[in-house]
Amino acid sequence: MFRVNDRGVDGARVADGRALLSVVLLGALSCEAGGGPFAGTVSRSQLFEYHDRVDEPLCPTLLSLLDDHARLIAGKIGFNPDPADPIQYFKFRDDGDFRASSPCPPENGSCASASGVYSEYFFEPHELAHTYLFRAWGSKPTGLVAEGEAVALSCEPSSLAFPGARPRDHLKNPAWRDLLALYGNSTEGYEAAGYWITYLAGRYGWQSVRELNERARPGISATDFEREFARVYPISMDDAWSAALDTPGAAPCENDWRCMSTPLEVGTRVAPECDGQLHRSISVVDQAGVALTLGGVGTEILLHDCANPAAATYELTGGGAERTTHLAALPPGTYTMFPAPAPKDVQFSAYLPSTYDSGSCAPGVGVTIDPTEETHVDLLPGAPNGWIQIDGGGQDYLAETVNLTWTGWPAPAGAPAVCDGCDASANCVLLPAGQLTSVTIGDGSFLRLQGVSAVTTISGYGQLIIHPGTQASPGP
Amino acid sequence: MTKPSLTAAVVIAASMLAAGTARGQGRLVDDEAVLAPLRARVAGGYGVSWLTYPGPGQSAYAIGGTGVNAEGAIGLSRGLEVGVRFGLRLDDAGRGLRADEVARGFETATYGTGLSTIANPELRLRWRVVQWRWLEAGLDERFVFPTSSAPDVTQILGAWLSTHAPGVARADVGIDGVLSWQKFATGYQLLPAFGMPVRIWVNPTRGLFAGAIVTSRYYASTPYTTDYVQVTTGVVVGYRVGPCDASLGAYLLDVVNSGSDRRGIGVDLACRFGRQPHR
Repeated sequence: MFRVNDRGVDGARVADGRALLSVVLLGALSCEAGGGPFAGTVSRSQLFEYHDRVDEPLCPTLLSLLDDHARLIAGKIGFNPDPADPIQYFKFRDDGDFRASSPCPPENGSCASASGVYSEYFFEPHELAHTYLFRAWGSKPTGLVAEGEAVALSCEPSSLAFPGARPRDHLKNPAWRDLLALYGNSTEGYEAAGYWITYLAGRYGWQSVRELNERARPGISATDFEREFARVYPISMDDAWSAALDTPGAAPCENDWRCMSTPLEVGTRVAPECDGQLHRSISVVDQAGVALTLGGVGTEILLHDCANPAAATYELTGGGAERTTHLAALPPGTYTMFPAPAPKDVQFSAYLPSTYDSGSCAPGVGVTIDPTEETHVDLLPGAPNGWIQIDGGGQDYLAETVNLTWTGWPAPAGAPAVCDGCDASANCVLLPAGQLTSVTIGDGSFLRLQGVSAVTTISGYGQLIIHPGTQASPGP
Repeated sequence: MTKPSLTAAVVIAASMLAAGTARGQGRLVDDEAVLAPLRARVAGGYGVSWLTYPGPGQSAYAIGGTGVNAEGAIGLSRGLEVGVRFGLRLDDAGRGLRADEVARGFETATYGTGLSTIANPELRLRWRVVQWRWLEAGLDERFVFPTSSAPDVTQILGAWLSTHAPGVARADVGIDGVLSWQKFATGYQLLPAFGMPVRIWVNPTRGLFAGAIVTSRYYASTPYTTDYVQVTTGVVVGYRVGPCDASLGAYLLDVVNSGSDRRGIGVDLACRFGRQPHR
């Protein structure tokens, strides 16, 4: 067999038919990823030998995180890590260095072999999973199985599913027969494969996946695959695929690594750990939600209750400002933070009190808005809204609504408004749909949200976004 | 040299030895469809199969595997022949692609011999019912034995017809009815199938021969598998030297509705020795 190791099935890249023919006739071309000289600093943990092309101190807990990760996955798949034969991790300087110097296909950001991982990233759980599986189960099976296993064990790649929707819907209705030789060419295919293997492992155990792994050799046809599948499982491949992708709220992967977390205390600010994850959680009991600030532009965290895989995931995005505060309404639960992509840091400023979004307008303690930051008021679909007291320091802002609807929408009469008080004589600035509205927000102001509701979206929220400043950017 | 390669080399060397000691033979198109009594035929082949598939971006990738085939047959009495076939996949992708099938010369249709390193062996019996100068017809019975790693049982009963244009061409047509008991997790399931191999041969010169091959197969559905049609098309060119035929076949393996992205090349050496047929 001729092969090149990377994310997908082992394969030899071909430019055209003639090249293919010459490769085939050569017969046993071997381009195994591994072995070449690699200049860099070497660090050693119990289970890993870490090679870094950049002469820099390693992130302090990286090696212990790698060891913990290997042990966690090893326990599932029956892998017995051998400290005498450490897993090699080759970290390249950047994408250019990776393309120039790694033995992987240039399109890939990482690749794996039995000996270890080649990556431009410090911690690459998808490729690590490939390496663990190589070592535990031997050679790599056909792409659908290989990538499904790696996605199921790493949750990479994974994307948000629309609440209550079938995975098949947001994955563009993938057909397993088209994905049998999956190889870096379909993100949806990878995710679908992850759902499928997660379903099989959850229902029949990882040992059954191991047996399928052995039977589903590279190059297998769809018809042979159906038969081999039926030798392992008491259901047909079509039925298994359907069970994995047609069940609303199905688990996309085994999330236990990313779900390992410690509670984040009010008032603390944390940066991602050495694996890029936050490993922090927030419990909501009888509060209305939380105030979280994300550092960095274009970042994002997802809040998900790991104890309830079918529950909605809430998406908090970093906006255009260096810091973005979310006043995020949340139902009761314990929410683990998943970076996607990781913010520089996350600050847990406060719980939102149970009176935060009140049915009546009554002066009390408001939520303070920082005029230098972007503020997102995140509203839950299906929840009634009323009045939210905010203190804007008398500064000028630009406000807009996103995924909100109201009585009489889109007419502005019922739109959310910023009011300078509760009484009938208060001045209110309406925030009509589809535009940025300049508004000055003083202390003791109120967001009037009566009759306003959030549209059900994949992000889990409808929002009122308050930008700093007065200069409206061109509208969409 | 690996064990499978050594086995293949021994088979081919033995065939060459037989070739060197035998007398000249007739044209391939004039071969009888059944070996004469006490006349034997041994063959060995090496095949490469590959699958092309899309990679990241616009790139295309291929995976290839290799396999070998060894077979022998002997005429038992006039119009009756018995034969055996063994296949070996030399690598992982050779298993997935069943690369030993394209090493079987022109008779590539197996109806499934498992996906293990060692293909399930096949025993066959060929009986000629009628024979004229320009036409032969008869029955084939093939039995594929279960193995511990592929415990399926397959039996194939076929009717065959061989039409000769003496010295010029030959057409072989068959109809195969297949019953296969597949061992699934829930127990044995009967998987019926049906096949129709068609092979056309010509002899442009005394030694040079060429053939076109089309084998269509239909597999019925089971509660765990869907029905499907598979078509194998191929061209074979070869040369007869004395009692031996060296041939090269190129095949397209098209599982209908599953893509025509599988191809294979096989080289095969077959030699006959023993008592000459009456001509």
